Amino acid sequence: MLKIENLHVKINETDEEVIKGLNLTIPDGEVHVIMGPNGTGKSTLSQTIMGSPKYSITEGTISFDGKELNNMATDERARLGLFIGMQYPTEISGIKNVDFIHAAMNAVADKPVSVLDFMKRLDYVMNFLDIDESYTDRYLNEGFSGGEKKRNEILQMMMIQPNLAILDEIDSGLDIDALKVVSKGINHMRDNHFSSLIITHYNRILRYVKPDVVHVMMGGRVVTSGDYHLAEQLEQNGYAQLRDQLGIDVKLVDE
Amino acid sequence: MSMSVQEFALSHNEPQWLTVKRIVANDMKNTMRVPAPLRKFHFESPELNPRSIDTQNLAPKNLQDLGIIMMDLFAAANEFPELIQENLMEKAIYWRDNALNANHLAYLQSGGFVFIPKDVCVDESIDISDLVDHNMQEKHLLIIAASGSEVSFTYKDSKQQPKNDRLMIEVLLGDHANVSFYDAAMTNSEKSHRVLNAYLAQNANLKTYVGLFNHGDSRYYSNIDLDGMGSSARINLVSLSDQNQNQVVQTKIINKSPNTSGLISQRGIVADKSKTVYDTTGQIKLEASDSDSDQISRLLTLSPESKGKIDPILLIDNHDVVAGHAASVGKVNPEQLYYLKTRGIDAKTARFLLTRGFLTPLIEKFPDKSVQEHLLNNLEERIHG
Repeated sequence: MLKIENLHVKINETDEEVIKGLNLTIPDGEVHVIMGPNGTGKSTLSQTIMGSPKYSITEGTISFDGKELNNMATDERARLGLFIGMQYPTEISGIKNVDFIHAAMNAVADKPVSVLDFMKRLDYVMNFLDIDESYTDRYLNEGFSGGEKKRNEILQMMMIQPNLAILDEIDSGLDIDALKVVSKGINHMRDNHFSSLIITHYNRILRYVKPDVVHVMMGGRVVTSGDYHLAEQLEQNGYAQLRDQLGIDVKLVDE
Repeated sequence: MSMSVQEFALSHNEPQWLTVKRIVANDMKNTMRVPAPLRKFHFESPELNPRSIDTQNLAPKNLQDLGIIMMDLFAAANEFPELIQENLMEKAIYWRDNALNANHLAYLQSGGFVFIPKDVCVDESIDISDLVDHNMQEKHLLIIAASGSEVSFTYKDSKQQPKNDRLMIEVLLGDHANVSFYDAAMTNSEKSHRVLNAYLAQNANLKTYVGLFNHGDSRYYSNIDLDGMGSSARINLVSLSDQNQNQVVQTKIINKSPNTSGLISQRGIVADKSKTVYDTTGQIKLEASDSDSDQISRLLTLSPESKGKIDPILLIDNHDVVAGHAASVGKVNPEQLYYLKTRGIDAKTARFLLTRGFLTPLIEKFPDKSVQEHLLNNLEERIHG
């Protein structure tokens, strides 16, 4: 279970506080969605959970399965079962996808994953996600299209099998086919031990991945939560109306 | 007991022209200058001791059948004076250039000669490492690839090395000759000096792949003359320095004729308190219209005390050409480091993967798998260990 209490986060470079007293709980087995207007701190939240050196927690706690994450290194968090699917996955020349994923699985697993077991699973997952054979020997994300990069994030998730996957705008820049494939991957992971935090702008992906809870974030806080219908409502009425309805005093970036 | 140059030459049964040349070089070296950057590598003359010379063609049987000659240089000087007299330290590396070259010729202890006849093509790479005695200080290789031939060579240093190590390699390519040269420089010597100079006739094509992984202070120098029309050369070099090593890489391709093409790609890792300097020159002479010259150099510094420096130089006399250079010196990319960590890979392993990944794209161009592995293993031992 992920538990975030009264979280305050600042961006190191600018010293600007972007998350201002956020509370969030994601029980095991549930898929939660965070929606919210641009510039409201959604990506900051996801990177902070993973321990990005770009942000600092100034107040509050994040814990996972009862362990406090605040001062834990990123790789330790990953070994605890956390995973992040990035909005902009990094390109790394010189490291092959296949070697990278094997290294990642070995890092997270209790004992090394044999090459044979690894290759079998990779084969299965690549097939499942409709990824071309040539993928394995290409360098990590190098020269990948936006869609290929997102598919690669999902592939890594399915290989590593984390307990909690934070998916940061995994749906942006995807065409319908790719969106379906990505959704299929997420749904395949769903079970009692897997939970997910999906960050998105649109409810498009929610047609394929049914969330247990939808949260709306504004001004660095979760301002309201509900079920799938909240997302539909937002789609119809927009963020400004919801804000006025809730009587919140924040300025929307795109207003 | 050390011998004089003359006694040493006699003990080899060298031809008289070579002995005379050595004696003249020995006499003249004191009147020649030692360029400043070479001073550290102006070694003391080695002791000369009698050595037995194998006068056989040392090429494997299948290569001998193609007419290929691989011989001790001193034996070859007797057998093929017409090929050696006018080429040995006369064309690609000129003995009168400086005192260090003259001394190398005078005190040359061990050498190899390779001749590839006209139009002979060999698929597998020819290992020429054993043509020289690695224990000797002053070593030399003279390689002649006749017109239309197509070959590749591999040279690997052995573990046994003298305190000071020098290998000078001359490669001469005839018209349309196509040569690749894989060099794994991995000496344990305190100082290593490697020179590879080449001279290309019309439409000849040379690719060198160099792994500069020496453990001591080292200097790699390569000067490639694109003398023939339509000739082209590529230098691909990867380097690694660690501890207190000092490393200088000086590479130069000169476009002398029309339609020539030169490309230098270099990548190096600079760890601990070491220092690496890349001094890279592309020169296009006035006669070399429709030519191109390009260079890409990158250095990755792994510690705050490590120093990397790149000096890219383009000397252009003809303006009907394409020329460029790119150079960067930097640290491990923090975004990439973070990405690997988000997958559970610890900081140390992540740094190693990124460091190895920095060289991999260039090492993978080395078509010789054994050289690739050799380099990657050495890198792992030194960086990950």
